[in-house]
Amino acid sequence: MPKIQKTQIFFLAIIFFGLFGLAGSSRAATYYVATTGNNSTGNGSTGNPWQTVGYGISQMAGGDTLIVKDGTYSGTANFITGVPNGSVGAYTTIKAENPFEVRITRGTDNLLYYDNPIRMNANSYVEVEGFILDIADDSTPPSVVGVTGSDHIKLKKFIVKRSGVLDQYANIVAISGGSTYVLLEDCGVTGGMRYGIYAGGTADTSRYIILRRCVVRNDYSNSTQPKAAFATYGNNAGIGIRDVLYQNTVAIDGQNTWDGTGDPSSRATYAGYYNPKNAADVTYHGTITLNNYGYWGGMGIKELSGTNMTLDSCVIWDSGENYGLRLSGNQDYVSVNKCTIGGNAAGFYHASSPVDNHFLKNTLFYNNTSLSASNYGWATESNNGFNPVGQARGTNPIASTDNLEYITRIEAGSAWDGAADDGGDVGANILNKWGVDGTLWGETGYDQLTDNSLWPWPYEDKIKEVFSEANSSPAGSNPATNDTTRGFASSGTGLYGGPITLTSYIWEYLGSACPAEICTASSDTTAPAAPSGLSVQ
Amino acid sequence: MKPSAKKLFLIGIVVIILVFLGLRIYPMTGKATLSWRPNTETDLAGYKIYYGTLARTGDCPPGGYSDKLDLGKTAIAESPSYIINNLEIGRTYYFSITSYDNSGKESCFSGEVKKTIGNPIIEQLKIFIKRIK
Repeated sequence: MPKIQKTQIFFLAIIFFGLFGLAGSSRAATYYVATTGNNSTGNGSTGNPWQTVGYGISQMAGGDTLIVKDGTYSGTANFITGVPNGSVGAYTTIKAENPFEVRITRGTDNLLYYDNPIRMNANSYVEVEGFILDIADDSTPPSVVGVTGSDHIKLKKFIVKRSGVLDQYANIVAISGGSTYVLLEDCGVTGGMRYGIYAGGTADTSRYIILRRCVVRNDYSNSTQPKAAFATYGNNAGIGIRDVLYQNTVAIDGQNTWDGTGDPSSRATYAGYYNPKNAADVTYHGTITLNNYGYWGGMGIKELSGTNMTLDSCVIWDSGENYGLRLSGNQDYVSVNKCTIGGNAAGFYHASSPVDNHFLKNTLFYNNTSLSASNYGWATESNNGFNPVGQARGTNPIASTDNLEYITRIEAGSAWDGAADDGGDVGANILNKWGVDGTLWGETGYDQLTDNSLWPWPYEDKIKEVFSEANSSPAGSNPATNDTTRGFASSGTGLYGGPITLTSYIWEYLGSACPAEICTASSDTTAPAAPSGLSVQ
Repeated sequence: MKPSAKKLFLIGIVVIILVFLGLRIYPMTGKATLSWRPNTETDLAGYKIYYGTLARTGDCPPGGYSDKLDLGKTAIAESPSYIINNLEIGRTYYFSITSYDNSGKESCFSGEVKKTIGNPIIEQLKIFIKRIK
């Protein structure tokens, strides 16, 4: 009997593993692509990879992962398009093996209007991560990254450099076509643009969009249209795009892209953020617009019937010709709370009514030439801080000549420390990350202030490296020159003693050395020890 | 009850077909699990794994390895480890790791280890047969 049982068990085991093997055919697979691979003789394994991203994608089923090894991949054969849809809990994933070590270029291919290097068209449950997109000298397609009519899309850790001639309506990254549940996270966008990152459109109803830790620098433009680093573009009539969340996004060092001719109302720039026409329910947590040229303002967040705009702990600094914050239109609800608005010609321009639900609280106005260029008034205007003190107004103003050390932090002991109506600080403290990494709208922690430090800025070395690459302003664009090593991309040493970084540039903008807990001092020249005790099983 | 020879034969045929299909369809890749002692630097930013089918040629990166994985901060733990999947069965892989800090400075390699990747189905069968013997 024992012999028979053993035999039976043995056969059962073999059947089990045979079935297990069959089941394996439906499990998610992982494939590889390398510049040294081969689409004909490769099998997609790490040791025998395929050669082009497009071929790898063509071999994928929903829920599979394609890993792209380090290197430069040129031409449309390497564009990320036609990705099979994933499903809940099983995203189809295209990722660089090492973040920012894979570069996709146009090569010599002529691009058609649909040849977006990353194209999500009617896709669901897709994640793309880790790529540099370096697209030059072709006026089409209008966008380098296009998300249209898609849902549950996560685009993470990517940098786009757009160079050469481009369409005057070109947005480098565009989300439209009724897309929902889209996340852009840890991204950088630079080069020629109308809008750097754009969501919505004149007849669009996209919703539940999150932009988390994206940096945009507007280098030049040939567009006669309004321009900005970020745009939430509402409908022509009626509310269009809504439910958009900006978390720790940065518009920085943008150039003056207006040629100085024509009607500035249609041709000039909004420095950092612009919500044209009828957008709704747009929230900004810990965002920054710094050293951008804008004719109409650093943040033009409200226009026509746009409604329900919330600014929380945001910085609007050094915004060009006219205003820091700009409001217009005729719908209600605007909340500006615990922001820092400074270094602007005028702190704000408010020409929006009715003002029944317009709130301006706990916000520090610092070193603006004037407080406002137009002021229809606010339903609540209280506990705001002012330096110079002569600009103080509203209920319980905190006017002081105290210095602001950093645009991103209110110092303990200053007049604005703990002076907010809830016991917090007046002005912005941008210290920790907003939103749990990787979360889409509605997922746990997607809109919470985390315990994780925002500084040093994630992947800032790579962002600076790509933003510093040569990118000449093409004929017909403004301005005529583009020094890509300006501002945070400058070489040299920061006041803290180390190289200038995105972090040190932002923190040292007012002339104080970046705090040691934020920037790593250059005196540390020692590499960490080699790890020990390595074993393999 | 003792199964008849005919039944055993039929079961055997079915099993052979299933195993054949299973081996054909199941991804022919294996894995390696690496673990190491944690670094103690306060500004540690992460680890990198270097690996390939040839032993390294130097003590510091790149060292001749064909592949590199940047684990970032996810691998900073009291007992750091990482599983590399999709390695080709039957091939011998060599592995080393480095650490790097917040400013990007990277250490030289740890000691090198190697592993010949086995077929996961056969390995599971061997383990199972061993246990029932």
